[in-house]
Amino acid sequence: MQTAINAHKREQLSTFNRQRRRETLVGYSFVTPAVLLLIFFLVLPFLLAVAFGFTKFNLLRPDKIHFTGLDNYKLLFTDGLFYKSLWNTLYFTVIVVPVQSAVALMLALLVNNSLKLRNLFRIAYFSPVVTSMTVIAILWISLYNPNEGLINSALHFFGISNQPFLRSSSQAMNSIIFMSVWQAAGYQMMIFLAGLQGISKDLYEASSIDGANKLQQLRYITIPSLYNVTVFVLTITTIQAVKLFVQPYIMTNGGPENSTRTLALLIYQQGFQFRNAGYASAISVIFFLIVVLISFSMKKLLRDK
Amino acid sequence: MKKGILLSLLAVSLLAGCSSGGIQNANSSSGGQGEGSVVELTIWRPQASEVEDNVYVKRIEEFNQANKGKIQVKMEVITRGNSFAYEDKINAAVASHTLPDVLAMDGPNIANYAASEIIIPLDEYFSKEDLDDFVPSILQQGSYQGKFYAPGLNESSVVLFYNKKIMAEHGITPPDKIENAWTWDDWYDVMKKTSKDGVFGTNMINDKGEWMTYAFEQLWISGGTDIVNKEGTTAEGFVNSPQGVEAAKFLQKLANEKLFNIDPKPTEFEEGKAATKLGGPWNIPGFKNYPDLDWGITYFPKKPGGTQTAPSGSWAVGVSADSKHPKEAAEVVKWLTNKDSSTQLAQAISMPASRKSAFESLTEYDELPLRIIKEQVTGVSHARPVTPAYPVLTQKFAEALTDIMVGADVKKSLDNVASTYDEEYKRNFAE
Repeated sequence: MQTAINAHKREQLSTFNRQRRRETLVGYSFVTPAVLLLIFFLVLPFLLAVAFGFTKFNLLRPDKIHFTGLDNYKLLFTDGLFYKSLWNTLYFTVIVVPVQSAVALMLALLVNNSLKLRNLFRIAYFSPVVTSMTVIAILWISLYNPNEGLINSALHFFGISNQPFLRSSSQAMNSIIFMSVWQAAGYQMMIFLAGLQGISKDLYEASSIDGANKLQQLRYITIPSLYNVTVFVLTITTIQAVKLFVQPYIMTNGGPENSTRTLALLIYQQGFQFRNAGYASAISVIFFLIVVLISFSMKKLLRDK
Repeated sequence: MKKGILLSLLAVSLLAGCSSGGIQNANSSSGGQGEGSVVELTIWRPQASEVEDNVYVKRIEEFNQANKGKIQVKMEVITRGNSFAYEDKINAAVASHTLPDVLAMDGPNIANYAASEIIIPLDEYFSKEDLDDFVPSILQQGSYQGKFYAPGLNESSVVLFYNKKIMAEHGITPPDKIENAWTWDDWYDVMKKTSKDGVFGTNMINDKGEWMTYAFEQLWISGGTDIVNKEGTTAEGFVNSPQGVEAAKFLQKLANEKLFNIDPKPTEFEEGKAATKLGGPWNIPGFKNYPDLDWGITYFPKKPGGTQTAPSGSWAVGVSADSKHPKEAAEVVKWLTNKDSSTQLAQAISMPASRKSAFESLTEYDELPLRIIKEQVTGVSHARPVTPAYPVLTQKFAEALTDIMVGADVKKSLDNVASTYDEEYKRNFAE
C-alpha cells in the first residue's frame, strides 16, 4: 500500500518535474532572441570598446590596429579638452535636472487643476517632446539669431540691447539649457501627471475637513505622495542630460571656444570625424564609468525613506 | 505547452529571418567574370540633384554601349543624408573590404584615402597630354606624394556676387578685369557704404563646416602663407603666421562691425538683404526664382598687395584598392572625366568644367558674368591642403574661424589649431 502511494507520489513528482523542465525550456526559448540581440548590439560592442581603448585604431586602417596599452588614457588625462567637456557636461546636468523637474512638476499641477483645458495644455506642453530635436534645434537657432531673432526683437520691446546668445562663450550653454528645458519638460510633466492622478482623493477630503489650505495640501500630501515618481524622474532626466549631444552638435558645433563641447560630442568628433576610434573608445569607457557613478550615487541618495 | 514551443520557435525563426537580410550586400564588390569574359564593375557616388544624377546615368549607359561584351558598369547611388552618410559607408566598406571598383569622393578626402591605401594611383592609365588638359587645381587636388589618384568630375569656384541696384545707388562699379580685382580694403569700403537699413554689406556664411576652410583659406594664401606647409606635415607658423593673424583679424573686423550676418538666412542676398555675397556657381540656378534680383559677378577679393586667388575643389572619381579589375576600372574613370563628360556635366549643373578643352564648347563662359568664374578656375585657383590629417585640420580651422567671428582671441585660436593639428599629425601620420 505504502509503496503504491509512494510510487504514485514519485510519478506525480516526475510529471511535475517534467512540466517544470518544459516550462523552463519554453521560457528560455522566449528569452533567447532578446538576449541574443542584447549580446550582439550592446554587450559585445561595449566589450569591443573597452578592448579598442587600449589600441591605436584609425577607422580607415582597420588592418593597422595595434596595442598601445594605457597610451590613450595617459593622453586623455592630459587633454584639456576632455576636462572642459566633462565640466560642460556636468554643468548642464546639474542645472537642467532640478530646473526641468521643477518646471515639469509645476506644469503637471497646473494641468491637473484646470480640468476644462487639461487636454489643450497637455497637447501644448507635450508637442515639443514628440517633435524631432533636430527640427527644434534649427528652429531655436533662428529664434536666438543675434541680429534679427524673435527673442532679440522681444528684448528690444523692453529696451534691452541685442544679445549674442549662441554666439557668445558665456551665453551659449545657458541658451542651450533654456531651450532643452522647454523642449523636454513636457515628458516629465506627463509622468508627474500620472503620479498626481494616482493620489487618493480621500486624503484631500480628509485634510480639508481638518482645515488644511491648498498650500498645506501640496506640502503634506501631494509632494510626499509623489516621492517615488520624483526619484524616477530625476534618475531618467540625469541619464538623458549626461548624454547631451544633438543640441550643441546642431546649434553651436561645440563652440564658441568649446563652451558647449560635451563628452558625447567629443567622442563623436574623435571617433567619427578624426577617425581616432581607439582614443574615442577610451573616452567612452571613462564616460560610462562616470554615468554608472552618477546613477549609483543617486540611488543611494534617494533611497526610500 | 506545445503552443509555447511552437511560438518560441516562430520567434527564433523570425529573428533569424531578420538577420539574414543584412548580410546580402556583403558579397564582394568586384563581380567576377560574368558571361564570356565581360568584366562587371560597380561604381558608388553620392546622390546629387536630379539634373546631375541624370548626366551620370546617361554617361554610364553610353559607356556600357561602347564597351558591349567587354565591360559593364553598374552604378549605385548612395543617399548623402547629412554630409557624412556617404563617407561613413566608405569607412564601413573599407573595414569589410567591400568597396566598389570605382568610387566618387570629395576632393579633400583624396589624400586621406590615398594615404590609407584605399585608392590606387592611376598614372599609368593617363597620358601626359591627357593630364595636362585638366585645370591645375584638379591635378593638385588629385595628387598625393607625386602620384595621381583621382581626377575631378567638375570644378568649383567662389566669386563675389553683387546686387546691381544697390551698387548703382552708391555709384560703385565692381571690376570686371582680373588685374583690377577688389582688395579686402576695397570690399570693406563697399560693405561700409552699403550696410544700412536692414541690408548687410555681405553674406558670406554658407555653413560653419567645410565652407569655412573652402572659402577662407584663400585669405591666408593671398597673404603669401597657407594654413599648413606644402607637405602638409605642420601647421605651426602657417595657420598662425603673422599674415594668418592679419587675415583672421580682417574677418573679425567685419563681424565686429556687423557687416555680415553670422547666422544668415540662406536667401539673404536673393531677397536684397545683402549687397554682396561670397558664393559659387551652384547659387546661380536659384537666382531665377527672384525676378527682382539684378546680379553681377566680380572676383574673389585679394589681400592689398597680395596674390589673386580663389577656392577650388570638387568631387572626383578613383579606383579602389579592392578592385580586381583596376585596368577596366581606370577606363571608367577616364570616361567619366573625359572632355564630353566634363562638358555635359558643366552644362547641366552650371559648374565650371574640370578640363580646359571642355571650356571650348562652353561659350557662355567667354562673356560676363561667367567669364569671371572661368578666369579664376583656369588661372588663380587653389585646392585645399593635401594631407591625410585633413579632417582634423578642417574641423579645427572652421571652429577657430567661427570663434574668431564671435570675438575670440585671434592669436590664441589660431595657435590652438596649429598645436592640435601638429600633435595629431605626429601621433597618427608621421613616418
